Amino acid sequence: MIRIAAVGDIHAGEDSPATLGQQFGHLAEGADLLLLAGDLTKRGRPEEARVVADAVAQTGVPVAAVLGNHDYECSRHTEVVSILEGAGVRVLEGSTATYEIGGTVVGVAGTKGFGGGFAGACATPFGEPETKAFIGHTAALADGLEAALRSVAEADVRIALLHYSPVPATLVGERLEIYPFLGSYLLAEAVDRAGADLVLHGHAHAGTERGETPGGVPVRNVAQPLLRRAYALLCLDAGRREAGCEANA
Amino acid sequence: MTGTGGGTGPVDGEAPEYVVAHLEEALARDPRVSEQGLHAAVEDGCVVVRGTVTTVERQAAIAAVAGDVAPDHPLRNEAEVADFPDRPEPEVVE
Repeated sequence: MIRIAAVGDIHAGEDSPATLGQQFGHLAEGADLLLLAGDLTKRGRPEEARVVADAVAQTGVPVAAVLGNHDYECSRHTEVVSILEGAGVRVLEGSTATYEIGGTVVGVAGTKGFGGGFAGACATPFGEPETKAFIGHTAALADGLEAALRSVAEADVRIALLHYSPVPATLVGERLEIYPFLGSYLLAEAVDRAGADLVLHGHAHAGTERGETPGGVPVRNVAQPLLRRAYALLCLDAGRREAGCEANA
Repeated sequence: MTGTGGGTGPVDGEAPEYVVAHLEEALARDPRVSEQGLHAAVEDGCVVVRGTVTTVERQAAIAAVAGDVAPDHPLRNEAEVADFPDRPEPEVVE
């Protein structure tokens, strides 16, 4: 049984160290792996990335992450990635991290993802170049996610780590008008084509915690303001998830 | 506020729709708050802000930002500070 701590949208700033330290202080007692679903920082400043790096380095478990829109705000995301990776965090974008935990190989494929909407109400790459660029960005990241998931096809457990949502089910509670800015069906399609055991995302603070892709892959919205707890603790078994998590936790 | 794309200057005297839009933009873009998950409304002449912020400093900064953008509107700051002391309960993903 693999125990995954997952959270997004921690929005760390220089005013957050005590909060983060408290939230992650006992994480290793119940989790094997920490996955961060983007919006790690308040505005994507290196000083904020150092707060995240210091907090997660003290957890004592492996950490993988994707960036979110907040992490791009100051256009210093390259420095943010360097600081996080310097602390041992694997920052994923169309790439993977693989971990062996108690004899089980866990493959994590990550992308920030982007928007565009969902079937029946989604943007299409038609008309102005700005519209084409918007959807083109999502499509490129979805392609990268699919390739990354395929590259860890041999893993016992495969997890897709995103910031934007792949399905509307985990957005319920958000205003319908902003769904196209919260995710895209292209991300779910990539997951269903390549296969995965679990999809994690953040970004939708007022959404819903649980959903699944049209292909039946479980989806969890782990945006911290939605969870109202420090992180979600999710347990998966390589033999398609059997009970017993409490015994290990 | 006529198509400048800035949208974060004082907007009092404008329609409530514009007050709300400019305040939500300011709450996202102003470095003191930087939170897209906050929602503003104009209710009974007051500006109301709801949502969750990460720290008490950012909760307090909402008043400063609202004061800059809508100085003549009283503020009801209903934003919550994230405080999650409980350890998470595990979920077995089926």
